[in-house]
Amino acid sequence: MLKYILKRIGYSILVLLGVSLIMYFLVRLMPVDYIQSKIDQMNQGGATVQLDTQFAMYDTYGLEYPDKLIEAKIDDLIEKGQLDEVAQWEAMLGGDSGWAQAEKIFKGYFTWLGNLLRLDLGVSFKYGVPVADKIAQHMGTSFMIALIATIFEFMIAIPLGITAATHQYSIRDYVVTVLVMVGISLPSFFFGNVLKNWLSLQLGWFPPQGLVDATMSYSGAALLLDYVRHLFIPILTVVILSIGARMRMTRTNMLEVLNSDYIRTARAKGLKESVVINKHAFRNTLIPLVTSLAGLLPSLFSGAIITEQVFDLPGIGNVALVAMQIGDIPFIMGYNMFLAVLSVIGVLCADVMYAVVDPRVKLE
Amino acid sequence: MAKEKTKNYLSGKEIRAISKANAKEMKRLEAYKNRKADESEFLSAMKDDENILEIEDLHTFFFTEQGVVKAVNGVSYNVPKNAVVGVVGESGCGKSVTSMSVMRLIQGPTGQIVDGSIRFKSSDYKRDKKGNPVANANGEFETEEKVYDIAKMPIHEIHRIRGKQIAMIFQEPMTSLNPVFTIGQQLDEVTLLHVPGATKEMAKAKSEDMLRLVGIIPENVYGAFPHELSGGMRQRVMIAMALAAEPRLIIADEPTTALDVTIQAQILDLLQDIKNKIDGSILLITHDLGVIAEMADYVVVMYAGKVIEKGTVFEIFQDPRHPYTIGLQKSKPTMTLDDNTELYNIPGNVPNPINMPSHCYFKERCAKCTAKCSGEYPGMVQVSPTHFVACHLYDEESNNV
Repeated sequence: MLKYILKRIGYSILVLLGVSLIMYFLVRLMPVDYIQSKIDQMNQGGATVQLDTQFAMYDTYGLEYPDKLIEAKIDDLIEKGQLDEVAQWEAMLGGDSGWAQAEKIFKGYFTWLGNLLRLDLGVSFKYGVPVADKIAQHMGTSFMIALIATIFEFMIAIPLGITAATHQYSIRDYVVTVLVMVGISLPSFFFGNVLKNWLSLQLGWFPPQGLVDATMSYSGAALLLDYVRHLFIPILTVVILSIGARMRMTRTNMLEVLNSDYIRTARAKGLKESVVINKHAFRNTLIPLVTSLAGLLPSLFSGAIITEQVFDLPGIGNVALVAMQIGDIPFIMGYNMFLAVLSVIGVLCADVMYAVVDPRVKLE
Repeated sequence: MAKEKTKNYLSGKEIRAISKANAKEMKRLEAYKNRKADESEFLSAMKDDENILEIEDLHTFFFTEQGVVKAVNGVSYNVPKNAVVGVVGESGCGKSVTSMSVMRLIQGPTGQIVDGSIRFKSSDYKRDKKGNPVANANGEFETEEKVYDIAKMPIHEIHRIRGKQIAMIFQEPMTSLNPVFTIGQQLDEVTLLHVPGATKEMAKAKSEDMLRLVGIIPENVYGAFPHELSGGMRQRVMIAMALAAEPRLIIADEPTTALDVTIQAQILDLLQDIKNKIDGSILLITHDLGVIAEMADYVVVMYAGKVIEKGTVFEIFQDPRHPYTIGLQKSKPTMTLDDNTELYNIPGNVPNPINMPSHCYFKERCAKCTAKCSGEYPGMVQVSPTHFVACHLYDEESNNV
């Protein structure tokens, strides 16, 4: 078992290297350039950004100079007549070929990787703080929402799925199935807004957005209550929207198990139907559920991007979305690597959990 | 008629009509199955006190989208005390459905016992109103005999019968044990459930005894999971599990079908052995005539949901009357058969179970068919005190019963 886990961790590191390389390429090929858009912004503000300042900005953010900027510099040097410096700048031109581009990106990647090995994720362009700090700062909120929502999701979806399965084709089954289908079909931005409008704006039971009441300074139990009040609608939204899939999964598994021969054996033994379902059938239904639970690990930390937007919560999803839109390379890389690591751990956990809940599975 | 023959599909209208009729019938039967009833409603009396199980005019139907499948259509037979009754018939003749009906394991809502009675003489502990066994002044649990009509029992009362009174050994040992519990856990469960005041230690001791009885060394198997055992071992465990509560009747539903021939022989020897050791009856369902000849005292031959012949094993093998039984005997491969003779087979197929004819179901395949066979379905004819046959050929031999 231990040997298996160590082996899997070894493979995981290889997977993560591959993931990081692909991710870095994709990020660098994104049609957004954080510095360029920043310079454009400054130019729009009326100021003319000096070439040297632009170079300095690229230096600050640790990026190579784009060819366009170097060409502008060469033109500038020729204009000024400083021809002896031109050769030095021309040497820095990478050229337009794909190889030259790739070489630049590779160079950037290995710099990033080297920093990562020194446990340095870099400093976020947008937020100006170390990426790790930014992630840690916002993860708590997202994690709490996701954790509470997942607990409720399982607590509601599993019993519903079991009743739907044990009363297959009954009115109960149809009602549960229809409600769940409605839940699956609703987009979260729409449903979130509907709930917000109804529970908060019309009935006034809960605050519409944010994590804490900015006008008050609570502490202790009152602060906790304030959190609960603020998080109620977002969590409700996430729970209702995610119950569906889990419930369908439980129902399908349960139906499959209930039709199996060993359930017939259990009934033939004289066990009461409740024991047959809650002990013999449920233990078998649990196998896919537990493994899917382990696979949920990354989603606990990734944050609900849309829900956080709708309710203006300072979660990691919201922060990551903004970073993505403006091309904040260190943050995108850091955040996505964090999720990649969690995914790999989640998959490993799922496999280990398989061996724990299903005696037929042996890890070797 | 000719037009109907070419039409081998159902129109949407017909399907809707069928499902509407089915839904109504299934709802009624489900309600009957789940009703609350006083014990007096399903208490009954045996016709012959020597019997432990009397199945009378049992009808078990499946309400499918194509129509009602009459899987068991008026089956009657008895299981006497301490006897082995073999039920033979080809696949789909309703022999397993009959046994499942006795255990009330027919999967609802599509499968339902529609009519008939299954009288079973149970010997259970005296129980109080809550269903807990009551001990007498000496602290012993007394037993009492009661005859229940299983077909009329509400489904939540069936635990009085299952396991403790009637145990079942299934056809598929590979899938009939729960994969996530150990053999020990699954065996102990039976004792813990059926023996009042049983402790875990008692249950373990009992389970180990049962394993020894079926020829397994308990040390190796008690803590094992089902997937770690071979098919033959699993079937032995199933038999041990069936024996653990000392039932009065064991239903073995094709216990050797899924096993290879050497293991089959071992399991049959084991059943034979157990038959002598336990004080109870065995209802053996199989399509293997050799197994029947070896094991059974009485034989019931079923065809297309009906009993067509029944009698002692001697009568059925030495003096088969029904053309189908005769055909079955002939289609048995033998070692003495000449190389050039082809193995006999009964021509034709079983009629479609949804549209059963009103005449004898075997008519189309029967070589001895007479004009009378196109008439109504033949009744049971008694040809000896214990031998009955449902065939018009013997109408004159004795009075219909």
